[in-house]
Amino acid sequence: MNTLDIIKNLYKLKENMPDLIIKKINIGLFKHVYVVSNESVSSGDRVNDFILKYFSNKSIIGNKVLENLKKDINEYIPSINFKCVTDEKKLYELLFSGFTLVIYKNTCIAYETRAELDRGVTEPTSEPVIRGPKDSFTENYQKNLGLIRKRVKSEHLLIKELTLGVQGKSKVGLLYMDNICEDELINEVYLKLKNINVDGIMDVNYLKSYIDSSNKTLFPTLMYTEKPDDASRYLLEGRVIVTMENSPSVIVCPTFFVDFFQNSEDYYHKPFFSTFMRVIRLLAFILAIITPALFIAVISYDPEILPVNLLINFSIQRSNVPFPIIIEAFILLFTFELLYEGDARTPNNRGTSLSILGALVLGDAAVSAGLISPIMVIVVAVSSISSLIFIYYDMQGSIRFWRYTLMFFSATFGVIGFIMGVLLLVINLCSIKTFGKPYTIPIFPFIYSQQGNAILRKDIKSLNKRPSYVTRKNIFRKG
Amino acid sequence: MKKVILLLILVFICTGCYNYKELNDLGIVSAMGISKDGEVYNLDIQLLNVLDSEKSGLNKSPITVISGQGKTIFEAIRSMNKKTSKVFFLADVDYVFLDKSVLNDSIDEIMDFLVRDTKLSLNFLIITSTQNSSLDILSSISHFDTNSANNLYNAIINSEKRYGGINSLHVRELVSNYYSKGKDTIFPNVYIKDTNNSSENDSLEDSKSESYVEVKNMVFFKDNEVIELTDEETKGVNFLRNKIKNASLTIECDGGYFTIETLESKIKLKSKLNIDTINVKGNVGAEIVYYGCKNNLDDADVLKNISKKAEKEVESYITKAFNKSKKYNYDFLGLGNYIYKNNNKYFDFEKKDWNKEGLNKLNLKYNMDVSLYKQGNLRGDL
Repeated sequence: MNTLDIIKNLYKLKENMPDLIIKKINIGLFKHVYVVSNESVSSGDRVNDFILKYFSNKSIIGNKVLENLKKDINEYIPSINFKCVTDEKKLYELLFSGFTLVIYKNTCIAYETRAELDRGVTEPTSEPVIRGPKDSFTENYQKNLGLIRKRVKSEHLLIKELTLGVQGKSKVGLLYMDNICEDELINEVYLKLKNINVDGIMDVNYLKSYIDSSNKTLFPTLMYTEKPDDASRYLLEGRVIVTMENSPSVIVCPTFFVDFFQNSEDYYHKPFFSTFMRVIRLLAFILAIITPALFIAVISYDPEILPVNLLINFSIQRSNVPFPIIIEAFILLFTFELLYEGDARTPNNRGTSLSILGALVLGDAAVSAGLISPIMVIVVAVSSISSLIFIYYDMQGSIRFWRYTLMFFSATFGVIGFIMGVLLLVINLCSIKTFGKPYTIPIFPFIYSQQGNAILRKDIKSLNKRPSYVTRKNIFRKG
Repeated sequence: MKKVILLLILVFICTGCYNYKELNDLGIVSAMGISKDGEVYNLDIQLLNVLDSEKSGLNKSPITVISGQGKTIFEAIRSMNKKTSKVFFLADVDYVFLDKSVLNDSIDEIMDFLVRDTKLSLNFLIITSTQNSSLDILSSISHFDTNSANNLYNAIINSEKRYGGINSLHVRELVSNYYSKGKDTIFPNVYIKDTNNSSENDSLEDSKSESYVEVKNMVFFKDNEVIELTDEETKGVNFLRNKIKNASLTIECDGGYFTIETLESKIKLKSKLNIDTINVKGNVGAEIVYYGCKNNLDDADVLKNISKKAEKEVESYITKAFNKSKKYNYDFLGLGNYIYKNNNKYFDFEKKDWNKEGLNKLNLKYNMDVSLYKQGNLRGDL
């Protein structure tokens, strides 16, 4: 490696990169040390305090010749992380990730002088909690690792690191417990990550489709979380956590269907209550998908099922609406989707006007205008509120898809179509496999011993076994 | 992908063909009335109004009655489409009124209509009237329920369960009576009670309904003649058919009378081969609800006496009904059916007419047991 070339290149680069700083320090008469850093990613204080101060002391003292820079630095510069660079490509990578390069003669040494470019540890925003730890992952990779290490202080918590993205060069870490997690799982995830060839990865959620590409389903097969306590719990269950720099959430693999009905807060309550909450969530899932479809099927094909008083009421309400019931349902659901999407993307200070408008339009005006019937508002509201129970955006997406599919089936074939649609849904759900295991495990195939922590939840004292469908390596939650 | 496209095409082809109906197009039929004028059937239909009366300002009445004529009942229904935009929805019919002009004739055609039509769910009552026409009964409005047909339905069911003097006739029972041997049908007889003249006080007008449909008694039609059953006879029928739940029996005793309410009743029939007697064995549980006699109830003999009297009373109800059925050769108690099922060697139902030849020879022998569970809080009369 020719350092002269490198310096030339760096000067060339500087013409179009004003935040690149190249400082030439004269030591003695003919000796120069180049200190190169990128001021936007490195901390100026650190460069000043540790490197420039050291060199300026040298130059003041005068003619003392630097014989062996590496040895010198090793002894005098108070930095823990420095690397000797031999490869030009590696040099740029280090430079732009916040290192400061010191080039002297043929040696090039990189010091870690990274600037803190992220926000501090804040409360989770997409997975709010009532009780329990309120810290969440940030965009800082090391901090994220620290948040997990804080909870699992074990020598078995290992990390496989790789750099992904030809241009982006983001650091991706694979966290696992080597005494719990099955080796095949680690290798599978690692290989899949390693084979990624793309120019840049912005967030860990990009990786989802690379890790799990085999399933053609809309149900989320990988879960993301921004809570370190959840991530640590999954680690101890024997799962692999994929974390990435610049990403405030981590991916949990493998993920099963029941995981979406569980919550870290379940474990803080008495077993009966958390079982109740899980059953409510399951009911909400079913209601969110089937309510509009079932209503349409019953009303337009088999009104005989309804009690006569209800039928009269529905009939009176519908008498002012000129559209077929499916159009009515679509109008209302579409308006709701607009509201929902608008609300998610609106800055907080403008959200109030949106909610007032939504409440007025959906709740009252549309009914008075004869566009929709009040019962339809109730049906759509029940379905939408039920879908809002799921904080995972992916899950909501699949619920919406199946809601519309079932509505379509119901509107064309009635109750028979509705049942056909539900069958399709069940078939789809049961055909998914994540990392070689059925998605709906342990409900289907039914594993009796695992029912203590699926939809039901046993007392936390008796939950002394790890889920057998995740790992068989270390069954008991001890040692 | 090909499969998905095929499925989508299928969905579009099949869109909305099969059995699709809009809710606002349905005319919900709550009651039907069938009468006959010569050879032509006359059908009246009571539709529940589903117009929002506040918004439309049109019709404030909860029901609309329309009529149609036709050679068959189905034709009569379809002829009504000339009058309304609604598609008739027959799944929630509460009762079907059969006029005496129909019941005097053969009911074969009506049975065919009731059983054959798949849109009609067999879940309604049959009523008739000796005084009023089908149109009058159907157009009367109830003050208890906007759905007046439902009100009448519940009134009949309630009076059967709680009073005992009325026997509800479910359409399934009519069909089963029609096909089974040795069992004849009695019909609930309704009439419009007009209280228009009696209201003199203005303040009473609102609370007193001007006219309403009341269930009068049970009737049957034999040879163009209408025979009415008294309430006691109907109670006898209900006791024998185990249809009674709470019925009140008022019985005379020395110096007054007392009332008991039955709490449960179980009657079994037994007969021996080739003997003209049917044993009626019954267990009735009852409660004293009114006691106006002299003897104190603390005495066990008095209670026994009362029980005996109640037993006699129940027996007399059944006997009265039995005598009436013998008199008119019309076996509405269903005794012939019992014999047909359990003792068919006794009578040849295929060749002989039970009502004329078998019923008159029959005797009833009673073995009643009335137990008084409760005597109330008072021991004697007041």
